[in-house]
Amino acid sequence: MDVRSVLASAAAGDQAAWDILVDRYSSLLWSVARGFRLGSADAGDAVQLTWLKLVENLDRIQDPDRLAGWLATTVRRECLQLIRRNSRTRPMPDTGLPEVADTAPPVDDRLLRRERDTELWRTFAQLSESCQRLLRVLTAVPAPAYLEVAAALEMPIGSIGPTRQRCLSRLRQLVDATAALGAGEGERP
Amino acid sequence: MTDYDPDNPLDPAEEELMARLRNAAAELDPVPDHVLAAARAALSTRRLDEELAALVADSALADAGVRAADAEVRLLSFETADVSLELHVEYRGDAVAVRGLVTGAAGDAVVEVAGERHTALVDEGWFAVTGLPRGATRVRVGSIVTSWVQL
Repeated sequence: MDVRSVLASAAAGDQAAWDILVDRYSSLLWSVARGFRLGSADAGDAVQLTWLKLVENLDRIQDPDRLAGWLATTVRRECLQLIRRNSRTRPMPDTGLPEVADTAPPVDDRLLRRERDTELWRTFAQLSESCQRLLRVLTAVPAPAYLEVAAALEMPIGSIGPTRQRCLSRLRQLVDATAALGAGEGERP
Repeated sequence: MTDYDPDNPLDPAEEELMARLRNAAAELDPVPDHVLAAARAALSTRRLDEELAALVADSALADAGVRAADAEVRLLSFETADVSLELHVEYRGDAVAVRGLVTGAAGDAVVEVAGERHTALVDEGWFAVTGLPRGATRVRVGSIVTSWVQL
């Protein structure tokens, strides 16, 4: 995608060009916001404000190659503001865990896989906040460049790779521990 | 998907875990449709005939906010080269009240939030709007419009 020309078209009011940007970067923005463990409503607010700010800055983006970084930085700031506000006025947001009935027996591969995903998602929520934040951003589709991750999390780019490795190995320990526990019980409480 | 960080390679089990995590995120926590729809609609907020007043100060960034008896107060300053606009924002529960002072621009003040527009008379630079919902907000006076801010 030629970001410069897409930005220029969007700035001229071309909805199709704008939609290209929305489709390309929504997952990144959502992943950043959820990585900060914002509830669904707050995450939506942070993402939407980021898009609104891009609209007003469409012809001011200095370096189109850094658009993803600009978006990631903008959404991070909005998230931090919402977190600050929530810490004063609201209880902790939800963790994003879906409501899934534990009792229904899986009847096909898809359900089995979904159950396995849900289990992994629960285990993921036990990681440290910094690990959740990083890994959640890395799950964005398409996978973000480290430059974008660095902007989103205000992390030195050189520390992303080693931190990812450490967080994944920690997650694997937790998964293994959960599996060992589950094997002994037969049924989740 | 293959790993893309050759300097910090993952072992196969961790690589598989990363792939599973990606699937889980896509399956269990995708971008909600209404978030995508709002993002697409955001382009319609673009105005070419108005001058953007940039946010130059926000008390929410500077300190923990000023608390009145049962409300929280936030001060915001926006500027263009010729116009300044100060907002005094008061939160009471989920309702927002805004008092503003504009210098250098004439006309009614229009507060835009959550698809609503609230118009207020500007009297010697001062205006006030109460009972606003929380959300992405901007204020327009004459041909200037403030940057969006989450109130």
